Amino acid sequence: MRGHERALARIVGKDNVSADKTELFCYSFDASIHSSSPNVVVRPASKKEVSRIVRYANRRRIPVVPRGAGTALCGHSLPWHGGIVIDTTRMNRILETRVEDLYVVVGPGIVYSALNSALKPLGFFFPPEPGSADVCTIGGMVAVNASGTKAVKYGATRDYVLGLEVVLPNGEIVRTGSRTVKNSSGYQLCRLFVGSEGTLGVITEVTLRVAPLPDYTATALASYEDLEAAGRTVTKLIKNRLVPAALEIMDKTCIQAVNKSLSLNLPEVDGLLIIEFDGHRSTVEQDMKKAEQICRTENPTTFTWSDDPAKRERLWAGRKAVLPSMSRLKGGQVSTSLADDMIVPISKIPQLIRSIAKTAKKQNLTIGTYGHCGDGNLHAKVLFNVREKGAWVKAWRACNEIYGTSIALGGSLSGEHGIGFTRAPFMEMEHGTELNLMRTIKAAIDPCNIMNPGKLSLDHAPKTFVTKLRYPVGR
Amino acid sequence: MCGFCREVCPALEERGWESYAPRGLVSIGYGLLRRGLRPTKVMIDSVFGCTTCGRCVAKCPPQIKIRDIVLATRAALFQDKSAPKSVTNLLSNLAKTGNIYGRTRNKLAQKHSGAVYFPGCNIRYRHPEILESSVKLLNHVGVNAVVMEEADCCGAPALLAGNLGQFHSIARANSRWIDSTQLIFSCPIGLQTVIEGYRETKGSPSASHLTEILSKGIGSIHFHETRETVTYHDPCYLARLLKVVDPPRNLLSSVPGLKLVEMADSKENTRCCGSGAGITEQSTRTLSQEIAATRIKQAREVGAERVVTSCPYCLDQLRKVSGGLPVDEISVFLASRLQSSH
Repeated sequence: MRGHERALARIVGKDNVSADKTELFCYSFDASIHSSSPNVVVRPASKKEVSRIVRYANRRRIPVVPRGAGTALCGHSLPWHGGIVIDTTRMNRILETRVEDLYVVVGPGIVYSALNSALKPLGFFFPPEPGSADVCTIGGMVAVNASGTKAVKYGATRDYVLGLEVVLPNGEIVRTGSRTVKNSSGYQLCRLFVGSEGTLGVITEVTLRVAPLPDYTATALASYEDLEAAGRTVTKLIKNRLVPAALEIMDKTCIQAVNKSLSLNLPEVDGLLIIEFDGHRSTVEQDMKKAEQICRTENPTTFTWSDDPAKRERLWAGRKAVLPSMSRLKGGQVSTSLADDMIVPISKIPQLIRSIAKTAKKQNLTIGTYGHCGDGNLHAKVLFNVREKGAWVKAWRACNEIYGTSIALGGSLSGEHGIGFTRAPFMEMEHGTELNLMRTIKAAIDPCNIMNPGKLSLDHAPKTFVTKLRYPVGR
Repeated sequence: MCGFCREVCPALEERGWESYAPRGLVSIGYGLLRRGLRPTKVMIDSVFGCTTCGRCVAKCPPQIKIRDIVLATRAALFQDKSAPKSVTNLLSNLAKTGNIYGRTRNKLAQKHSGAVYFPGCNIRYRHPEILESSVKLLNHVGVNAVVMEEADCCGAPALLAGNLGQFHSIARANSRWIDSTQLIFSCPIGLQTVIEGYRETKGSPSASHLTEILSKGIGSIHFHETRETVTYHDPCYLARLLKVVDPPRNLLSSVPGLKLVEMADSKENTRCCGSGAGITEQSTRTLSQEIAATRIKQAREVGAERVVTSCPYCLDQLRKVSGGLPVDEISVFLASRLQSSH
């Protein structure tokens, strides 16, 4: 790879390319269960540099994998077959801010919270806030159509992407969409690139719609001894025409994990709901009163709400810390991102929760369930000793059951994290013949299959996710 | 690994490569100690480029002991003879003369009881004015501390550079002199090393930072009026690792007319000066100065006319890049404003 390293150094400068074994080792991980090393990492600063890198790779059939902050949960940003990793974090500028036109143009490497810090003084924000908001990049969010707690009211990244600049696999730079809030001109290719996980090109610029910041926000906490009662409350809230800005659920396992990690003293009940409303103060207060009445019909052990920013922040810190806190819950057990992003119609939440609990019992696994129940999106974290081969077999069986149930309920494998490699074995189960259409599109845009190969079940259908694991697995 | 630590790492902010991210450092430790990864230039630069400021540890939701992993990795690199020469030179001086600057002096050998002021190498040889001011202020609040003449170094440079053998032998030697004493430090690195690092050798001795002692006697100190806007830079070892944040602020606030302003990152969430207790400064100088420059920028952003800190390493580091903005150590700053009549 030394020849490639030299050639790439001519494009980006020698300080922005590395084939050092330590560096490659660091880039062989993301937040997933997998590990796979690149041959070289480059950190370009412009679309022209990206274009030259991709053209170079395409001529030589070298795989190219874009990477932002590397917070992907399913191995999206890992080079499955080696090759070149393009780290986009140097392309982190805000290129244009036009709140009067409701848009902002940014480089793909800008961090979500940095963008919102810049928009805040103008009274605007980019709403789809993932749990990794303080570190994840906008490019990564576009690549997986990320969202988070606010999706129930504000939608996901795809709903805000007005335009993209993409370097195609042949090095050509294309612009899709426009700088307008609506557009009926031909195929909506922006919507295709959003969620394509780096398999169709490298995103080098993003035009995002921005929304006005709400004047007032209030957050409630309702705790239930019965997780299903919490699930039923969610359905009742939506049915009664309430649209919370966030509607979250956490089960006992998750509550215990964050309490242990952050000493938050949340009530350790079976089901905890976080309900947030934002907008004009009078409307929010009215909605909160209505929500309280509805919550009380399912006999909560506690119901409290607050508009104090410090109290609200503390609550949200707990919710955001669920994912990384899970590994501290039980000594020797690791929280894995498996079966972690199913989405079902909102009213099916209690059914899915019941089914996950049944699977956990059947497979004798600890599974923590939490998520954005307001939009039907649940995260189940499977805890087990990752060094035991037998535990992986049980985890695989559990995932099959949970995904099977989600799809049977009219749902999908992923609400906001994407497919990457970990969920690729289940693509056929969800998409059937639609997968062939996806493969046709992929082949048309990337005939040499250089862009992030091995992902989304586009080039081959993997039979299991228990491969290229980051953990040393014994017998 | 979630990578949430990426938000707060000063070295990553300047360098950008994953190897500088705290998560990358954990991977490197794992690779070197468990997966047969061999030392490379990138490994040495990033592992010694870490300032050990501990901000990532405070941020890490599963509370991975990232700082400990970095120190264990440094120890493995030192064993492998892969530690940077600029760092091992300090340790050679330390072995020869008992201090990192290679200075010689006659040491006493007597056991103390009562209050003992432990200056450490940096203050003794590079900042005697801190020693002088600290003793003066201690006397002012009625604490008659003896200056430790028996030892120069607390052992931190050896511990932080990965020479654990050398560190333990220094800790054992120093422990002979600090049996029933109340130790007082102006240097947070020395204080933290004695409290945390001497545990195995000595149990944690009774030790405090100068500002903790002085703030208890704040009523008996009177300062001249000053019309200055001052910001206080919390040293990582003092504020984040030892949670001492109020005493220096109380002291500064007791100076009449002084306006104390807070930088964007302060108290336990302080932002590193880049020195890394002298190790980062020696091993990756450009990086350490870039980190310092970002801190000075934060001071200017809040309109500070002067930066006051309470660590000799932070002092040197910030002064190098302050571009004319005055930077003072707290005891020197306070002692120069002391009203002589009291």
